Amino acid sequence: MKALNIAYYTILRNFRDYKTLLLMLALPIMLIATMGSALGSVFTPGDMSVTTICYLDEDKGFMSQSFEEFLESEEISKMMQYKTAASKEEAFELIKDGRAVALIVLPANLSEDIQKGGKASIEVYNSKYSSFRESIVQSTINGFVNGTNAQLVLRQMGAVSQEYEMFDNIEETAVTAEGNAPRAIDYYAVTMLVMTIMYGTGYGNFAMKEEKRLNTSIRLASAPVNYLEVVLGKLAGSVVSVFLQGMVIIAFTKLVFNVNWGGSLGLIIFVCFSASLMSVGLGMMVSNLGKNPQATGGLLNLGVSITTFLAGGYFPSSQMGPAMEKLGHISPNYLAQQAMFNTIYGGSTAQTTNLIITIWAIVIAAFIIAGLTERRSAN
Amino acid sequence: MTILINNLKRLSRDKFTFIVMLLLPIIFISFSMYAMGGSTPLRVAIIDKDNTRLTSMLTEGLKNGTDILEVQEQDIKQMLINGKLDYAVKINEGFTEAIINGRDTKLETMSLKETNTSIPIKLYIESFVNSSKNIAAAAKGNEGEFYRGMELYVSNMVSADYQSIENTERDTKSNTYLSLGFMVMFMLFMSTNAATLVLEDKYLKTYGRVLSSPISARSYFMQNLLSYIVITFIQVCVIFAILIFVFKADMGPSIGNILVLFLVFALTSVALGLAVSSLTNDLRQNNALSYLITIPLCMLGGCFWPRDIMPSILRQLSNFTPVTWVLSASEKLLYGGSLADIGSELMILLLFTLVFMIVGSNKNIMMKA
Amino acid sequence: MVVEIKDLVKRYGDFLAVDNISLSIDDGEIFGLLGPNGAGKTTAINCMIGMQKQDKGQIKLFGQDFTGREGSIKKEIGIVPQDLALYWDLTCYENVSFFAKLYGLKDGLLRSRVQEALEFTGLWDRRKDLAKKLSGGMKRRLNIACAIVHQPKLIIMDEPTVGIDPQSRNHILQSVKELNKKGSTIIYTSHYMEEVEELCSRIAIMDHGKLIAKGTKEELKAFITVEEKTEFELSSVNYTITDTVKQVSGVKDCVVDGSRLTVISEKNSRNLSKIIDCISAAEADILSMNIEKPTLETVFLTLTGRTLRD
Repeated sequence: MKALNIAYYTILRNFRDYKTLLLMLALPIMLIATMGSALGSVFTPGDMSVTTICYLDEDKGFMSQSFEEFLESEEISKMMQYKTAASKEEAFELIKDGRAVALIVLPANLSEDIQKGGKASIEVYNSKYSSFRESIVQSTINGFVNGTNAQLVLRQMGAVSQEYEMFDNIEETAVTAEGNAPRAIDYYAVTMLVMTIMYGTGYGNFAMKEEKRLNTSIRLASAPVNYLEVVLGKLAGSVVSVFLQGMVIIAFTKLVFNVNWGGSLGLIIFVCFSASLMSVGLGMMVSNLGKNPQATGGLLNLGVSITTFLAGGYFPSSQMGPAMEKLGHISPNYLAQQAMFNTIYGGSTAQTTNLIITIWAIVIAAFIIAGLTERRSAN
Repeated sequence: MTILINNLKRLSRDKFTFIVMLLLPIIFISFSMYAMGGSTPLRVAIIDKDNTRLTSMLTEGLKNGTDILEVQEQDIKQMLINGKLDYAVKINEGFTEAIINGRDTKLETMSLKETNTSIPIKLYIESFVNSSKNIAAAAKGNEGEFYRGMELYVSNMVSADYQSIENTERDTKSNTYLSLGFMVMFMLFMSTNAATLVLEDKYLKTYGRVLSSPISARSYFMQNLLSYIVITFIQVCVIFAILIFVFKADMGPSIGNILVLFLVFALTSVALGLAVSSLTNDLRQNNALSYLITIPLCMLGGCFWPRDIMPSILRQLSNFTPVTWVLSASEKLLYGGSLADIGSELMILLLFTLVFMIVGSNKNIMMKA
Repeated sequence: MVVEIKDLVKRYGDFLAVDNISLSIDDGEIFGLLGPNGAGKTTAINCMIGMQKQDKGQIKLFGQDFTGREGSIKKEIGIVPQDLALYWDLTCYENVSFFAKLYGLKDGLLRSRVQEALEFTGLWDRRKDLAKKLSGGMKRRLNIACAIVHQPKLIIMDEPTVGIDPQSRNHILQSVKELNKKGSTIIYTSHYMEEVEELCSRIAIMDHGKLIAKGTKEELKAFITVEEKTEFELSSVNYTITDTVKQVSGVKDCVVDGSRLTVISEKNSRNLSKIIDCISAAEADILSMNIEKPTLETVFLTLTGRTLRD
């Protein structure tokens, strides 16, 4: 009961500073609004722009003819255009400048070598850094090489007269991302919600240190209240303060921006609550590891900015390269974000469960460390 | 000088925090230097229910140029939607047998409607299956004959020979540019943080005492400014040293010029920090306000993404942030510009500094507490 | 017996904060705990109310051992900390009722007790104001209101009058007397001698962690002072005066310093008129005269060789 009383007054005090509270809520909402509208293009999966390659024909045989036919076929020309290069050097320049992805060389005597039945190869020069487009080039060339090889095999198997036939080989199902993947505003609503919750580390940081600073720790210690009750009360008050801010953001973005929070709002709210606990717990832990609550407060704010960034809160980390995306997985923000995305867009339940378990593991670890480093003295 | 030294002492008083504060940006930038850049190759999932020599030949062939992911069948759709997968292939049981016996059979595949990125994979698979069907026809249902043909097929009588040309130069420069963006972000965060000492002075009521001493408000302000600049600049130098000596980053023709630019920006960011802290009365408000200001500044200014991807209104708006100018100046310097080329950027930064200092040193605002 | 302390020792590392203190405080008294800053008063109190664990010694409150009965004992204690201990962003009413609830007060009783405490400290009209908006004296009073709202039997006031204006100070001193009249036992620590002299029936003096004296005001003075000192400022001094004064019964010494004559007599000699006779006989005018009676200040000075305000 007394813990509840302490929690109630903690919330009352946190919310009485309504200027700060408004600022803390205005920041994420403003960011959701601007980035949600400004960065739309990053989120809608779209057609890949046409990849440019250079082509140098030193063969001038039947292979060059069939390769050009291949490049000009309808399906290929939709995604790849070629420039005929005069020399390798010229093509390398274009690649260095980023104006072409690769150079494809049909070496002299290619057709002749193939005719003779010996080994032959097409040369592909590419830069090692643009692996996505390069991957496209590679798959395309391999497709061409496959066809050529098949014809050679047929010839060797003695089926010279057999016509190379085209079959129907693939039954393709297309899934659509529309409504199944977050739009920019949906994405930022989630990441900024998590960011706001993580800024709740500030409440954890101040929770106990503040009592010492206000000297009220003396009163609390002299009152007939268990110390554990005091800690629990402060903790609950801080967690609820953070959690309520999260709820405000969810409600506001849902009603005003029409953000998609999915069908199972209950689970989203539970993730919010777990994240609030994690955030307050981490705040208390860092607060106890440092000395001066002002300094640790600054540190936590800096830390939250970093974890938000790493988890792709400001800009999707998947757009910053695979290593960066993996690095983002160490961020506590990632756990909560991914759990929410999974919940909203029907992702793997097993993964969601693991994420939530990880959050709770962090909660427990943070509180154990905070408890071990708590200096109880009133002075 | 008294306040300068005192501030340095105060900032370093809490060892744990001070060390982490100093190390955090360095670690972060080192990490991102290491992790940034590159993009994921096309990713393919293969659900192989048939498991034959033929299907493993297909898988092996796909490994050339794409990443094969181990994926549960039920997760495929979600992964495609989330952009974690580009293409999925399902090989049903009996597929190989049907091919050898010349019966019509198809692979089930799945891709995202909105994008064409997976077409090359589709083409590859199409050509592979088509070839095997043709070879099967030539083998006339004889399995041994069929696999002899397939072996020959995958032995690539004609092959593609990949060679990479070195163009590392372009890439490290863009990485250096990115890490400079992060550095700008940290400088803003740090300076708004460090400036909280003024607030602590207000809280401890030592502020009034300082102002009533022979030290003038201006001198107090200037010395505060100086102490944060010293700290920020030490950090900048350490990060530069790491970028250059550990990551062999290409800093353009003159490291000195970039240092000059960042010294000027250290001034701007610290002035901004003091301006923010002079507008608020307590720490929580200051924290809230400083993040309300610095994060959008970083975003608009292009710390996280190229400014070009933003709509033109935001791009125009970004001209009103110092971040835009420090980043465009550092881009110029990286690609061979001289100090003279960034003259206008430096002027604009100094102008920002001046404005922030006027806001921050306004005695009326400062006495409000 | 409200408080009984035996052989209390508290160390901080090598520093001996409280060195073997024993004292007892009776029901209904105002007990003064006197000593300069850093003498160990606050530490002793913290041990008394169970906020710090003593290294050695026994503490009994209301005749009971503290350990095991924290809850019921703490309920009977109210503490007014030396530094203001308030939530600045709560109103006066909220501050007082928050602490009242910690002592288990509820509903009607809660409301009436909070009102009582605020009226007692003269803050009822300001109940809706935030604590940070109050003047210095009012903050001190709110600091007291928070401690007495649960009507404790024992009130511990640790320097409750530091740094406030004389008016608020008088108000607080009056309140202390009133609280005592209502039946509370009060422990009052201060380094203001006058306050202790005015309020307290019994006094203990601490210095460097040691209890150097205890007793009633009179006992302490009697215990310490053996001599009385009288100073005269004279128009002219001639040395025959010293000779005659020295003849007066009870006078132990007589010293001349410029125009000042200092006479030291044995305690209770009642010889002042005779001394004055000697001076007038020497035809010197008395410009001023100062009889130094022992005060707690002199008691402290004699005991420790330093003044309290050091």
